[in-house]
Order: sequence, then structure tokens, then C-alpha cells
Amino acid sequence: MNQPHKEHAELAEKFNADEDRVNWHDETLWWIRQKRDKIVWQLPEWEQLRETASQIKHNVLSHLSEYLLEFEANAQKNGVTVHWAANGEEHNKIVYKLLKEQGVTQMVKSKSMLTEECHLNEFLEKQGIEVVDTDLGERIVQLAKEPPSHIVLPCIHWKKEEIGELFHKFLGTPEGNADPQFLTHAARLALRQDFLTRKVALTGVNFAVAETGEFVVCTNEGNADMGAHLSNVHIASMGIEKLIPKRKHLGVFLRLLTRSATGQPITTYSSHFSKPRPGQQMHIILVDNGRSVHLGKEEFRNSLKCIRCGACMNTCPVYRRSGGHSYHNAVAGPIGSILAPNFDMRKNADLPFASTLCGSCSNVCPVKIDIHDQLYKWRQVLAKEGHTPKAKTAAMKVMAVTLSKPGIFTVAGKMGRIVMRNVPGLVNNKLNPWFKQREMPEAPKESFREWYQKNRKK
Amino acid sequence: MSSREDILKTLRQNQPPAVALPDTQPFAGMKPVNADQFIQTFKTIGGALYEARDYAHVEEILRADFAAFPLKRTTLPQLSGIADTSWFTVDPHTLHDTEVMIAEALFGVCENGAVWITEQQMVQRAAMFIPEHLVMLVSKASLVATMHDAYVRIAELHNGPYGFGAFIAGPSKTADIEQSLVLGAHGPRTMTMMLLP
Amino acid sequence: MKVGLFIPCYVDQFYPQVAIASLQLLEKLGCEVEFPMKQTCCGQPMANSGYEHLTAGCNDNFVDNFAGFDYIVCPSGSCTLHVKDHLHSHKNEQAAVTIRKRIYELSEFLTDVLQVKGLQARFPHKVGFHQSCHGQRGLHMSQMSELVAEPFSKPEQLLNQVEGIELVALTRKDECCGFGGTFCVAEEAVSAKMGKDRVADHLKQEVEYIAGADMSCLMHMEGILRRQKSPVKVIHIAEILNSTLHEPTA
Repeated sequence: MNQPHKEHAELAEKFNADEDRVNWHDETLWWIRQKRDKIVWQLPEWEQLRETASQIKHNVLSHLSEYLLEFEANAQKNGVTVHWAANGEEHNKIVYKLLKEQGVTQMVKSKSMLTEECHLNEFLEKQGIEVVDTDLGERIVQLAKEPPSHIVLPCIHWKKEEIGELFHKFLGTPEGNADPQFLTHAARLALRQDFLTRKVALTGVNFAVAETGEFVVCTNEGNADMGAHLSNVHIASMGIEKLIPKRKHLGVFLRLLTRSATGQPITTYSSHFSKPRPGQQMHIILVDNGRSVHLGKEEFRNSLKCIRCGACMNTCPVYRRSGGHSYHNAVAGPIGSILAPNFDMRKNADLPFASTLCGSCSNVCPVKIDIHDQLYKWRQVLAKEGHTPKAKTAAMKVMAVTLSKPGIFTVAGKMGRIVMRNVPGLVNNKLNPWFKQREMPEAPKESFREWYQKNRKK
Repeated sequence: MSSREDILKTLRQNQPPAVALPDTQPFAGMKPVNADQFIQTFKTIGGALYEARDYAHVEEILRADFAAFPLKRTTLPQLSGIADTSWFTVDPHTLHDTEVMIAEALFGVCENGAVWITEQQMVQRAAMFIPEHLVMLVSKASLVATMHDAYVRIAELHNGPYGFGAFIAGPSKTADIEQSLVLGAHGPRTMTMMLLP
Repeated sequence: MKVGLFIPCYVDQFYPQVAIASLQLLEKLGCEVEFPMKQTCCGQPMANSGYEHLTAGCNDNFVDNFAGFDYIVCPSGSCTLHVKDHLHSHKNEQAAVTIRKRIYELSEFLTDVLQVKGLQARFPHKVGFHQSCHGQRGLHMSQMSELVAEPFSKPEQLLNQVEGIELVALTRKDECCGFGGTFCVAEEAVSAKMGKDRVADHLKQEVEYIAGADMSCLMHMEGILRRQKSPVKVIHIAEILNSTLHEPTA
């Protein structure tokens, strides 16, 4: 395939060149999975909650246009300006226009995977706007000029010593100091100045309530609130699927979100924004960027239920051992692998194959998205539409014939064993990826079929 | 056609057949209020907690334990003897030097140690996030068991929108550096709960 | 009770002893077992690669071979799950539907249909049991660690009836081994790393055998064990459950 970027397998292989680092990455994320397990077991009604959340989201998807209109009307009543953006480009232009109206060239931003998806920072930089990401993890990857590698833990792939070096370079911390407490404090002091001086703040949205026109932003750091409450203009960017029907449904989702994400009972701050404070402007940008089309794909629409908790990444044995950047998409891991092909099937054709289909992701998903089943279904679509390698297609066609003709199958199997017994070098070589780190099975003298013929068919 | 019309049109074409909302009522009232759970959970999420008899007792605790921080501000006229109350209408940026902010929440949630507070009790939104230390009063009698119960309470308390409201659960924190928990990210570095009767 | 024995293609070729153990075990438990000679494969290697649309011929052949049995039993959770979820036939969909309902993985057939209690088996060894994902999460052969739900395990229910066996507890009780079909070569680096980690968990518990209900996972882990020159062996659950029979197994 002629692709503009490296594929998951290649990037993952690179990540695996440093095995100690892979072990560390795997253990760190597994620890979060364990924290999640521990806290969800404290709620006997957990599975019922997941089912309820899934059904609420199903209702949302079936009434999305109505809920959006209800939300818009209520938000406007609350004094909030509502914008609609068909795609990332339009979203970015709306943000830029609001900045220009204020005559500012700087902005603080709290975590928003949507703006990653829209490549907002790159766009604004080109217009001469300086964006400061204020979530600590996002700030770290921003200073390093990297995208986040995890939707909840943006710099989960960074070691503290490396962060120490980065902060030494950019924030002037003493060389060699890698104490998380110290580094966090240094970032707090630096970013405090940004909060106090920026006139415009952009935040993401975790949930928006159709019934009331309010939206909820969840953070542990308090950065969304620091930005929003000290700004003259608060811009909140949200994907249109973030709506929920009623305020009481927040009870269901806020119970699920953080328990699934980090194993906490709730984030430190669950901030409910309904009206701008006196003298402040509040804007909400409703972004489609492919979601309305995605909604029409019956087999794949469930992925729009996602509340971006990241639990599927933490549990995914492949994600833990390949790192977020190997997915070359704003959202990595299992959920990213079923969302990405909706945006660009050709570019992301490798992602649904970056999985063993083990199914752990679907089991931890708080809104019960059938993630691993969708991975399987995407594979079917990608193969049919010609987005899989030609050699693979050819091999599969040979296999299809072999498996439909028992005669050929038996001969082929026997030939295979004869080769393996007599010319092991033909399979045990560098061209066979299996052999790189694993021995081939020993080929027995006779197959079961042959044994059965002799022992049961007398 | 505007993007708004475009998006709505595509959505209408692509929405699946209507699915009814599930009943979330059974979740409310499922569990009893358990003050010990609130206390334990709040401590687990990094908070400190005192059981105080009344405002006078709160003031006594503050004098003893927060003596090192002279710049105290409060939203509560009852505590004007120990903290400044002249900041209600200042530019919120000037609250940056606040060492201790003292406020009172509407109710607490046992299952996660969070308290609910709206703009009206905050006086200024930034006031809950900008100080170095946050002290929150909440009454034991106000506690609810779960988040489902919390939204039932919110519906009872607020007739219409509240401008801004937040669940606050402990000091601001981050574990972005190697998953090491650090208290004091961008908001208050500590949070102390004064649990009134 | 007429049982059609479905043996996965790679087991037929590489692990005949597993098929023999499955056959002998079922016979010992009173089943009338037949191995339809013209069976090939369930088609999963193609389907998981995205080519389910090429599996029609393979599926028809499967239906031709297995229509008419009271039960179809297979010593692989993965192949069983694939047939259960994806077997269709333009020629005879009714037969395909019936097969989908009647196919069982070997250990769930023993616990759920034959309701085996008091197996006469002996295997005096320290064993780590690998939960293969498709059997566990797909067929529900055992409870999944992600769910807040009552634990159970059908394979362990059987292994606990085996005399002398010592089952160890693993640190990660149901993490994938990384085989994943074509994943094992397409994503060689991650696949091998997952396998190494899974094996290491068993080795940490000082097992003599890594057992499982899916030979594909075991083949993957065996490849790693042998590359590491480890004395630890892999063994299919059928071989353990059949271990009192003294017939030579290939």
C-alpha cells in the first residue's frame, strides 16, 4: 500500500526495540486497569449502569438532530452563542475569528481530543496564534512537539527523567531534577502566568445536556476552570455526539466516566457551565467532522457512544505494547481503530488489524461499544474495498480454494509437513516472521486424519 | 445551505429508528446515606476533614491550623472575623494571591466525597479554583448517597439554570508524570472539609 | 448420541495427539464419535483477515461434513466461536443454522451437555491454565475479569476433577497471549512480546505445563518456550482429561 505514513506494525516494532520501556509502559497502564477493576467492584450495580448508559446513548443517536436543536435553543436562552462546524477546518476558522474579534494572539486550552482531531493548534500557529495547552500531560507533549499518545494520559509514554530534561530546557528547572512533585509545581507556576494573562480560553466538553443547554467539563487539575473563569471569552468545542438528553443522566455518566478512566470515584472537578459570567462571552462550537455520516453506518454507529474514558486503551494488550503513537491518529487504541477508518479508510486501513480481537476492550467499555466486533467488521469492509495488501488478497484466494476442496487441502497439508520435516530451512528462516522470535511447531509423521484412517476406519 | 442545516439534514437521514430512554429512576435511593463513607472517601481522594460543631468551631480550627496563611478570604459573612469578605466584586484575577478560601457547599455525595456548589455560593467562579488552599463547609444532614441522588437534590434545589455549578472532590491533582499522584496541579493544593452537623 | 468431531486444520497437521485425546475422551464418556474425513477448516483465518466474503466454499464444505450430527464438538474455542458466529450457507442455510446451535467447544460440551462429574483422570503436575480469549470472552467458557460478575470456569471445573493436578494462579488471569491468527505474523513484534509476557507469568509460578483449550495459543507459546530452551511444555486440556488412558497418542 502506498501510504503517506508508517503503518501500525512498523511503528509498533520500533516501539518494541526497547523492551524495558515496553515493560514499563505495559505495567503502568495495567496498573490503571487494576485500579479500575478495584473501584468498579465496589458497585454491585456496575453492569446495570453500563447497560443503562449504553441505552441512553442509543436514544441519543436515534434523536440526535432533535436533541441538538433542543440544546441550541436552551443554550441560547442561557446567553451562550452556538456555532455549527461541518468539519475541522470550519471549527478552526470559527475559533480564529473569535480570537481576531478580541484582538489577541494567545489562548489557553484545556484538554480537548476534538481539537486534536481538527488539528487546531497547527492551524492557529500558522495564523500567528500561540496556544498554550494547560493540562500538564498535554503541555509536556506540546513542548516536545508531539501529539498525545493517550486520550486521558497524554504523556503516558514519557519517563520522568525525560520530562525533567524537557522542563530544564523550556522552564529552566535545575538539570537532573526528575521529581514529579517538583516538576508539577514548576509547571503550575509557569502556567499560572498564562492563566492570569490570557483573554480567551478554549475547553473541551465531556457532556452537554439538551434539556438545560448546559455542558459539563471534567478535570482533575482544575485547568479548564482556571482558563474559563479568568477569560473574557470561553470557547467550548464539542463533537455533536457528546449530547445527553437530561441533566439527571449525568448521574449515570459521571459515575461511569472516571471509574473507567483512572479508577477514581469522580474527577476533582465536574464543572457545569450554563451561563457566561457577567461581562463574559461563552461560545459553543458543535462539530460534525464526519459524525453525521458515520451515524448512517448501522454496523459502526455504536462507536459514536464513546465518552472518551480511555479504558479500552488501558486494557488493550496491543496498545500497552505498541504505544499510542503507533496508531497515527488523534485517538489511539481500540476505539481509535474503529473511529479512524470513518475519517479516512485508506490512511487508517491498518488499524483494525492492530488487534488480536481478544475482546477485553468491549468488556471494559462503560457504554458497551462492541469494539472488537467492529474491528472484525471493519476488516471485512477494508478487504472488500481493496484497502488490504494485494499479496494478502491473492493468498486468501488460494486459501479459499484449498479450504473448499478437501482433496487439495489434504495434499497441501501433507506436503507442508513433509517440507517442514525434511527441509526445515524453507520455513525456519528470516523471511518467516513467526520464526524471528518463535520456533515452528514440530511436524509429526502423520496427521490425525491419517491416524484416524488407520485406527478407526478399519 | 449553512453547515447547521447540512448537519441536521444528514443526521435526519442517518438517525436509526427511535429508541426509548431507559428508566434511571431505580438507581436513585438505591443506597443509604453513609456519613462514614463520605469521610473516608474524601480522605482517600487527598482531602483533610474536620467534624465541626458550628461556625465558631470552624473559626477556632482555622485560627489554629491555618495560622501560617494570613491572606484568607471567605464567601461567608459568619466568618468575617477571620477572613476578608471585601472581594466579592473585584476583578477575579486579583484573587490570585488568596492563600485560603473558605466557602460553604450545598450538599455532599457519600460515594465519591464530592460536594456540590453553585455560583451563588461561590460569589465568584474563579474563587474556588485560584486559591492555594480551599476550605469547604458542608453539613452532614445534607449528604446524599450517590450521584443519582445528587441530581435529584439538584432538581429540588435549583428551579432553572444555575449559571455555573461544580462538584468539587478534593485538592486539584495530576498523575501525568509517570502516574505519580501529585496534589496541587492548577487549582488548590489542599482541600479541607468542615463537616457541620 | 452422535457426535461429529471437528478438528481444526492446524491440529490435524501439527498436533494429532490433541485430536486423538479428544476422540478417546468423548468415546470414553459414551459418545458415538465420527470424524468426517472431508472436513477442512472453519474459515476463520480468511474471515479474521477481512475475507469472510471468500469463505462461501469453505462454509459449504463444513455444512456438507457436519449436517446431521446431534452435536459437533471441537477442541478449540476459537474455531467453535467462528462457526457459531459466522457459518452460513447459500446452499443449505437451515443446516448451517442447526450446526451453529449444535457446535460446542470440547470442555463446555463436557460440562454443559454431558455434565461430567468425577472424571477418572490423573495428572500429577503443576499446571498454569491459559484462558484463550475467544473461548472465554466469546463462548463464555469462564467469567471475564473485566466484568462485575460471579466468577466461574468450565475448564477449571473439569481440571479440578483430575487427580494430582496442581493449578496455579496467574498474575494476569485472562490476558491475551498475542497469537491472534494472522496477527502473529502481521504484527510480529507485538505478538511475540505478548507471548513472551504470557509465558513469563506462567514461568513465574514455576509451572511444568501451560495448558489451554486452544492449540493455536499454545502453539504460539510453545514456539516461545522452545526458543527460550525452556523445559516447560504446553498441553491441551483434552490430553490432561484423557490422561488415564494408556493408548499411545501418536
